[in-house]
Parts: sequence; structure tokens; C-alpha cells
Amino acid sequence: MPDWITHLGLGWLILEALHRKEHRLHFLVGCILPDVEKVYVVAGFLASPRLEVLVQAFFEPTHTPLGALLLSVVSTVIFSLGEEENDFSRAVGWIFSGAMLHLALDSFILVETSGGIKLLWPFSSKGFGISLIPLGDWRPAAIVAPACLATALLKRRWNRAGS
Amino acid sequence: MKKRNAIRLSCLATMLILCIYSAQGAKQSDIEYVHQPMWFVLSVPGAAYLLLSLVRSDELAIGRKGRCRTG
Repeated sequence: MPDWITHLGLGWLILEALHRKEHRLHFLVGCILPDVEKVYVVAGFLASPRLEVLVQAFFEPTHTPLGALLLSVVSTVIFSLGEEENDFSRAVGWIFSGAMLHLALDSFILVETSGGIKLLWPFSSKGFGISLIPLGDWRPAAIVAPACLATALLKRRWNRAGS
Repeated sequence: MKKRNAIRLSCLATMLILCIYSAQGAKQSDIEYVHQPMWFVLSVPGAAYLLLSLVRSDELAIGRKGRCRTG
């Protein structure tokens, strides 16, 4: 799994490239939403390894497209949405897009270590992946973080030049 | 009950059923990140800072919009 800096940084760079201002928080929350399963790390620190295995298996559906969709709908509760039903469906759409970006990035991890993304779960447990980077690799963050910084600095300079 | 709350509740119920179904098949080899959680843990403060600064800038933008509307 790439770290959260990579997930959020790449999501932010995509939003900047698309010049999207609306719903960017929904999208960015979606970018890290499937990692709610990481409470198993806390369970591992605080409790027994057996509980950790159980907690991880319990939250495993969060890393599947179906689980991400259900979680996107549920997580809209943390946002204050207007009265219009349009707001709700748009928020779900943006959170789900972020979650799918998360799954796409996770698919770059070596399948031997991650087991791949279970695209067809619960109908099939077969894992799919592009399998390029080792688990816990620091290099994606080392590329994305300076790119974010450079983009933010350039944006600031353009804004100053424009005003 | 609002339609959107009903949708949220039904999704939450479905998610819980799927999670319980998944937990029934728990086995030791499912552990993915337990042997190297440090890099993940280290990335959390950076990510939290990015999100919080975005929330703050959004709130400022909303505040500016509000002032424009009221005049």
C-alpha cells in the first residue's frame, strides 16, 4: 500500500490539473477512505495478533470496489450537505472516485505481497494488480511530495502575478 | 426519515454483513502491513496536515462567498 502522502498528494495533483475546486474535499477523503481498515495496525499494537488478523479480515471489503461504493455512501454523513438530493449523489460520486484512485494506486504493489485488488469480490476472491512497487516503498512519496510542493509554489507565483 | 438517511443506513447494513462474511474467512496469511507499519504511521501526520489546511482554505473561501452574498 502506498502511504497517505502519495494517495492524497496524487489526488490533489489530479484536482489541480483538472482545475476542480468543488467537491475536492470529498475526493481527497475518498483517496484515503479505503484505509479505514488500518485500525488493525492499532489492534496489533494494543491487542493480540489473533485479534489483528480478525480485524483486518473484517475490514478487508473496504479495498474492493463494492465496499468502496458502500463506504462512500455511508461516509457522506461526515459532510454537511445541502437539502438538494443532487448534492448527495455528487458527494457520493466524488468520494467514490477518490476511493477508486486509491485502489488503482494500491494495484501497483507487488501482487505477491499484497494479494492484489479483489475487483470482483464477493463473487470472486481473485486479486488483480499491476505489480510494480514493493509494499511500503518510500519512493512514490519521494516523487509525489516534491511535485505537490512545486505545484503549490508555482500556483502561488501565478496567483500573485495575476493579482 | 429522509431518503438519503435510508440509503446510508441500508449501505451501512450491507457493509456490515459483507465485513462479517469476510471476517469468517480470517487466516494468518491475510496480514499485509503488520511487519512494516512505521512508514504508514509516519505518513499520517503529513496527510492530516494537508487535509486540515484544505478544510481551512475551503472555510475561508466559503466565508468570502458569504460576505459577497450579504454584501
